[in-house]
Parts: sequence; structure tokens; C-alpha cells
Amino acid sequence: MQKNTNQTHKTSHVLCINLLNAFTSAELEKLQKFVASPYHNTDKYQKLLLDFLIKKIVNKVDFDDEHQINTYNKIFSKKLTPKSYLLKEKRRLFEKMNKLMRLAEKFLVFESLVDNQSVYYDFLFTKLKEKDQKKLLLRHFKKIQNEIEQREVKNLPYYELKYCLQFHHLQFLNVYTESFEQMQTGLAQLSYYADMVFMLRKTDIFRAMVHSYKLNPNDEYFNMELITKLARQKKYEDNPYIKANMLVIKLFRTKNDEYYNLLLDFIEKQQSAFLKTEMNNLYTFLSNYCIEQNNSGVNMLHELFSLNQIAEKNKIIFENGEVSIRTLKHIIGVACKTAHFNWAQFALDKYKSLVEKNIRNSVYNFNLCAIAYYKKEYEKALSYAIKVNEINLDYDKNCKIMILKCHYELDEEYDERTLRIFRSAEKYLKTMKLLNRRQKKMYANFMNIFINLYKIKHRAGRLTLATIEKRLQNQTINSDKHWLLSKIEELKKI
Amino acid sequence: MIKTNVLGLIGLFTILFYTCQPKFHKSNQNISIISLQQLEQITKGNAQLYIINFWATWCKPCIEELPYFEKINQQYKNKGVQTILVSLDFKEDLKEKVKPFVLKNQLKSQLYLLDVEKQKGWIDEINPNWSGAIPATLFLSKKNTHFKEGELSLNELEELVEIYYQQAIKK
Repeated sequence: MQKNTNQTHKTSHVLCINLLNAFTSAELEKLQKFVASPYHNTDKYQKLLLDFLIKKIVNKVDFDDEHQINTYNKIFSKKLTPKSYLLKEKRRLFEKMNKLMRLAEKFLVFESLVDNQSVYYDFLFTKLKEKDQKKLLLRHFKKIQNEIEQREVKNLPYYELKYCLQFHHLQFLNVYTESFEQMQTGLAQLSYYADMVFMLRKTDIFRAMVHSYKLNPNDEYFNMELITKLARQKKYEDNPYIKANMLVIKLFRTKNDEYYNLLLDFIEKQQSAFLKTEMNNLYTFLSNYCIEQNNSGVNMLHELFSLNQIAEKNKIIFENGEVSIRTLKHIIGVACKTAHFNWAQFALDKYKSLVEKNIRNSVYNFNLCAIAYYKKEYEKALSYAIKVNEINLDYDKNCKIMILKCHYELDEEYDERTLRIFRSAEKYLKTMKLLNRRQKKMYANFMNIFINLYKIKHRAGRLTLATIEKRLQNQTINSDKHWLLSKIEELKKI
Repeated sequence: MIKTNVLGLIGLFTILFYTCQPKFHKSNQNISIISLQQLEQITKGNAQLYIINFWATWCKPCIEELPYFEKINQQYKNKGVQTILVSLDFKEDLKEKVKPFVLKNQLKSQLYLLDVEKQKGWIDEINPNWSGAIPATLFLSKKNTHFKEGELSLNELEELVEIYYQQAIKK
């Protein structure tokens, strides 16, 4: 038991700092008020600790021994040195940090209640009922009922709130009025809301299964036939969320373009029925369908480009004033692959300012590099690529590959220095910790063929083009088979 | 008359003052902070052979061999050999440590400070066999690349440069 407690304290400071690092500055400010409130916290050290951590540690430095000692000295008004900062002192500090972490968690629960009305009212109505607050309850029921009726978006939170309201209203009727008729109608409605919650959740799960996990559900718990039958009932089919979910499910199960067009048409017409985040999800499903089809040999890049244009026009590309760099890279890449360079430049310039500030220039240069690369302006592409600093795994490895391809295209004769760059990149991709084994294999296969092609291009290798082509055909996974095949075709013509 | 003498004296002092000053020529060296990708780009230029020495102001053996690289730079700079001294000091130390060091030692070779703070695995990228210890030297040409970890004597360096240079220019 003692061992477990020690273990908790050993890691609690790390978890605490990680949690605080994930808070926005607005949230940290609110947390300070939360911790300062004597209702939530009576430990005088907590406020000192949080203020110090925010000022000196959070999102600034690693919480190493030196910073731990500084923190300890500040909050306990001591003058410890590394020699006098021993296990006992560490434990004392970590206990306080453990407590702070619990306070931060409690704060998050309070904060999330603001966004989760059904949970909030469920707690509130239960307590008001316990306190026998008949008038207050009635007032809430009316107010929420009016508020719900105004809503245009009938999604899961809508039905959860409806269910919560109906449930507590029925309990209210049961206690205060005993109106049998009202109860009967009310129970039917309650059942309907429960069904809607069930169907919305169920179709969400099925959608994720067929899309993300490529499962074709058909057993006791994932009975596709049953859910399809239910979804055909008018009361469910009329709900745009269920309808859209079912179209996504059908699209990924059948791979039939008809459902692609139906879904695209449906979300275009029903825009006001969806929240922006859900619209974003639906466009992502459509995009992913195009990408999947494209990867399997059916060219859907033009459909993908049109889709991105629509999403851009409907302002679905950015969320909360920020654009996801992944999305930006994707839309620029697709525009370039379909030779819509002007649109790519327009989108890049338009959304540059929405990219997180510390990576903005690198993201901009990366995408400029992509535009130049697809325009076959390789020297220009390289000049942008070298201005790219570390962004994230996806960007970094793509930047690396683009540099390699530029060198491949630019070299007019065999160059050991280029080969050195290739070998370095090979090593980089092989040892990249964030890549999984399959991804590493994909890149290793790519690099193997790529380096040999370079040698063949400059008549420096022992292998023949036919051997390389055969080797490539035999590879089950490769990060860019399509590009390699195109280069083999080019070399055949020489 | 007195006025002329005073002016004459001021002129004499001025001449004496400037001629007695120790000869510290202001270095024209501009030390850019570069990334590994930028270094790779630089070394893909037109020179026949690139000699890239990795050093730091805090590394005694590195400092000891720097004059040898300076000598090589003088000997070969007109033959298409470019000597590049790449400092691995922290970029925060550029102004306070690296620049004064370069100025004091009158380094004439091309100088850069490599910013690898955010670049994981950069040692492997330079050479997979490199332990990361400095000094270390890379010889790059279109025909060959060689890597040498550890300190070099002047003789060793001259020998290596001559071999790699001959290989590089051989048709």
C-alpha cells in the first residue's frame, strides 16, 4: 500500500504539469479563481503553488529538480539547495501537486457542466425535487421547453435534454398531480426521446465502425440489418443526423458513388440543420471516401478538389478562428495535384493568418514548397523547404520526402552528396520514434526503390530497371508507389 | 604661428595614436544560424570539395585544430575547395561567445552556427556512425563523401584533403 502511495506521488507532479500545460490561458485564469475560492479549497499552499506554476513553469520549462526546488522554496518559504532537497521534501511538494491536480479536475467538471445542459439539469432537478421546490421546478420546465422549441439543430444533445426534461417532468406529475392521462402521453414521448438518443448514438457508433475501423458489423451487438430497418422508420429518417449517418454507413459499406452524391446533396440542402462541427465531420467522411477510392485506383481527385472548394466556400475549413494545419496541407495538396495552383495560393494566403503563430512561417513555407514542387519548379521548392522548421510528424516527413524528390529531379549527374542526403533521410525515417512499424516499413520500401532509381537514372547502380520494377511490384506496402512507378516509366523512355 | 604648431601637434598625435593601435581588423564574418537542411543545400553548390568541420567554442581539441582548417582554406580556396566551420554552440551564445571568438582568432573560412535544438536525430543525419563527439569533419564532393570523428593533426588533414581533392577533380 505504501509502495502504491509513493508511486502516485512519484508521477503526480508530472501528471499535474501535463494537465496544466493543456489548459488555455483563459482556463488557467478561471482555475486561479476556482482555487482561490474557500468553498473549493481551504489549503493555503494551493493558491501559492498554482500562481507560481503558472508564472514560472506551465508551458515554459520542464519541471526538473532545479524548478522543483524553486517551487518548493517559494511556496513553503524555504531556502533548500539540491543537497537538502530530499525524499521527504519531494513527497511534500508532490502531495500538494496531487491535490492541485484534483482541484484542476474538479474545475474541469464544473466547466463542462456549462456545456452539458442535460447533465446539469438532471442534477439540478433531482436536488430541487428533494427540496420540494415545486414552483421553481415548473418555472425551469417552462423555460427550457421554450428554449428547446427554438432550436433548429436536432442532434444528440437536443434529444438528451428533451429526455431529461420529460423524465423529470413526469416524475413531477407523478408526485404533484397524479394525472393519469398526462402520464400516459408523457411516457410515450419519453420513450420516443430515449429511442432518438439510442438511434443517434447507435448510428454514430456504426458510422465510426464502417468508416474508421473498416468493420462490417453483423452480430448480436452490431446488427446492421436491425439498425437499417429502424432507420427507415419515418420518425427516425426525418432526423437529418440519423439520415446523414445512414448515408455515410451505406457509402462506406457499398462503395457506391450514388451515396456520395446523395450525401453531398443532402448536406448542401440541409446546412442549417447541422452544427458546423458536424458539417466538418460529414465533409471529412466524403473526403476520406474520395481518398480511399483514389488510393484503390479510381481517380477521384477532381471530386475531392470540388469538395474542398465547397467546404471553403461554406467556411467549414476553420474551427474556432484557427485552421487545422492538417486540413490546410490537404486542401493545398489536392489543389496542386489537380493543377489548380492559383486556388492553392489563394487558400494558403487566405488561411495563413489562422495558423498557430509559432509554426505559421514553417507551415506557409512548406505549402509554398508543395505548390512549387507540383509546378515542377524544384529549385524554388527547395528554397522554401529549407526554411521549414519542425512542425509535426506528418509535415516533417512529407517535407523530407519532397526535398528528396527535388534533388532527384534536379541532379543532372550522379552526386555522392545527394546520395548522402538520401541515406540520411532513410536513417531519419527508420529511427523516427513516432512512426509505427508498418509506417517505417512503408518508408523503408520507398527509400530502397528510390535510391536505386536514382542510381539507375545516372547509370551508377548495378541493378537493372526491370529488377527494380519487379521489386516494387512485389512490395505489399510502399509510401508512394504511384510516384515511383511514374519515375520507372520515365526512365524506360530514356 | 602658435596656432599652426598646435594643429601640427594634434596631427602628429593623431598619426601616432592610429599607428600604435594593435592591428585588430574588424572581421567581416557574418555567422548565420542555419538548419541542417540549409547546410545540405549549401554543400550542394559548385565547389569541387566541401570540408565541413563541426566545432564549438567550449571544445578545446576543436579550437586547437581550427588553425589547420584555416590554413587549408588559404591553400585550397582558389582550387574549388570550400572550408566551412560549423559551430555547435547554443544559438543564444552566438553574440557573446561565438562572434568574439571568431573576431579574436581572425577566422576566415565560411562560418555557420547549426541550430539543431528542434531537430531530433540530426547526428544520425549527418553521419549514422557519428557518436556526436566533436571535433568531427565531413568531406563532401560529387564523387565521394567521408566522415572523420576526432581531432586531426595538420599533416593528417593536409593528407586527407589532398586525397579527397584529387578524387574530386579526377575525370
